[in-house]
Amino acid sequence: MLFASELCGARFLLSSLNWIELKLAPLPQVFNLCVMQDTQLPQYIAVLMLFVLAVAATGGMIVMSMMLGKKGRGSKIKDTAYECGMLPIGEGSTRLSVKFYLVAMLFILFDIEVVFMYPWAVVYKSMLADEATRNLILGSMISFLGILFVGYLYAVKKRAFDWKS
Amino acid sequence: MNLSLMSLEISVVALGLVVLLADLWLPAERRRALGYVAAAALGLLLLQNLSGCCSCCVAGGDGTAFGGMFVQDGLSVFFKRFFLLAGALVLVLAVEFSDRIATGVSEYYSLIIFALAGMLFAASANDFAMLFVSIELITITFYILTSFTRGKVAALEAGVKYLILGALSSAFMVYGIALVWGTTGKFNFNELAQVAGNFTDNKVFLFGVVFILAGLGFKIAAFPFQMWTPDVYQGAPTPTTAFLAVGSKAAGFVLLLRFLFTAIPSVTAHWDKLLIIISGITILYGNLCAIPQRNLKRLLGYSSIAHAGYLLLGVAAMTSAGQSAVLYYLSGYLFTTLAAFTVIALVMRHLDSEDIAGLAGLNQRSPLLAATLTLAMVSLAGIPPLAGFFGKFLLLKAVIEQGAVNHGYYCLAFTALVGVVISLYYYFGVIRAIYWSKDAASREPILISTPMRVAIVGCIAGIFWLGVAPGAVLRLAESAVNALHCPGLALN
Repeated sequence: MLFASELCGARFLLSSLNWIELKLAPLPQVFNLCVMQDTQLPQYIAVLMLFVLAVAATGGMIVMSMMLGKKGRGSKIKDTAYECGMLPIGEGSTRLSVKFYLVAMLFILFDIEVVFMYPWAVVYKSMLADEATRNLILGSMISFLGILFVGYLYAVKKRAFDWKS
Repeated sequence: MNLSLMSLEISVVALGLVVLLADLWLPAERRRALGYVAAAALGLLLLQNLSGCCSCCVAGGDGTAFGGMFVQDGLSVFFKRFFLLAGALVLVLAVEFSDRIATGVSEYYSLIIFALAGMLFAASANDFAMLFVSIELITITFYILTSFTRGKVAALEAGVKYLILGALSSAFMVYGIALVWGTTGKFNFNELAQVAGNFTDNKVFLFGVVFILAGLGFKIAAFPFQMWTPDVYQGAPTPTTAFLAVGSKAAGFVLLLRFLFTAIPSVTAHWDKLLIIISGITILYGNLCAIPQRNLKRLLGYSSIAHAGYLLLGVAAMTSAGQSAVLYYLSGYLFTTLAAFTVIALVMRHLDSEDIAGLAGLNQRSPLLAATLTLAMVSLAGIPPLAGFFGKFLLLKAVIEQGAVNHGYYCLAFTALVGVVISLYYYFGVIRAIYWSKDAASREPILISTPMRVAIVGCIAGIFWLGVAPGAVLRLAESAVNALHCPGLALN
């Protein structure tokens, strides 16, 4: 439910931004900003306004809480980590095995591969039908996958997937 | 779709992959020699390119691929040969260096080859997407190459500095590309050239152009973007430094030439003052800061900033004479710098730091290396009859010829001469350390392997050849620069 209401809110925000943008679209001409020669640039006014709104909302909250809120009195004991009343032992951050970084890195690599495949799959059919681009569309993906496959072989042979060693 | 134009790039990428895969099946003790195999393969590609030149350059070897993104013309052919030669020499140097790399020798070789592939693509980039991708391919491999000896704190420091500043400059460049695209709607250099004249007083467009120049200025280590150079040159493994000094800088210059003179010639025409000032300050900064340096690699780092300034003389002149002088100077710089770094790698093998004092007694230990380093320093300083002299002469001539148009060019030529005089001091300090130092730390002779000896003799021959008989390379450079001014292929 919360999600749906947030969606409604976002839609409302967007539609209101659309409205403001329509009202403000001639603004560049009014202020004689020579920069907006292209008709595409005014479309981004909505983004700019959203950005300003976001900065104003978050900054406003911080400033208001600083101005209106009560300041607590800090002391050294209050700043220590709370560990069920016991004295905290050791560092706050624990050591992680370097394996996690390796797995994360490999995940990113082979995940990006799939990101490239989506747009490729979308245009595949139309480009295959065209005589001029027929070889290009298949060849580009095969060579891309071939290079990645070499990387995969390398990772396997270097035992990057070997969890135990 | 003209895939045959890219055969060189495809072969180099395939070579990198083969080296990477060969590492998996070769026993550890034979991996070292893989570098020689790779260097020989690059040499073969270079020979094949040179022999195929007469037929391919003249009769329809030029052309574009990928919808004009990739262009093959005289300029790109010139720079591709340049990069192949540099890559082969650096690989030989890397084999020599490989005993100081703890793990991953073949990875070091293959990363050098991938960086080389990025440079080859940069030589052919005719589009902002291609420009960015090729620069990133070069830079990202160099992040790893810089900190490859990761046991050394200096190498890690160099790697982190290069990573952070490199990422910052890439961000500048992408922002600039976005602004240029946002105002003009063009990505292709030839298409941009046709409309750029309408945008010469558009602030957003000029802002974008300045940001792209900032990104390229970082690559070539020109004045406001030079601060990474000394630290990275000092900390990186010597073959990486050599490749950074030669390949990465030349890739920056070919992109700069294409961007300034093919993509936005109408804007560049108004920017003579900016280029004059940047060039002058870069020369003075590099030469003045090099004076107090005691570390040889750091000294060469500052000297490389100064040489970026000299090269910018030719860009600032904005004539085809200036641009061909840039190409000629880069060719001389390739032999000279690689010779200097080779000697550093061999002599400083057992020392922790590359202090100039470590050169003491080099003349007794190895007369060949002493002569090589002396020649390299003399050529960098610009003394006749070596390559550096003739290159500087051409650059200054191009600048002074423009003096009638704008008197700032006379000031620039004078600044460059002052820079040359300053540089004599520190280059001869190195030579003094070779021949006239008293307390030599070690007297044992230095062993040089045969491939290394061939590479050194080749570099010396190149330095003399370019200085004494400049005709052949100069003609090549002049015909290469023609491609900048009449990019007839894509225009009509």
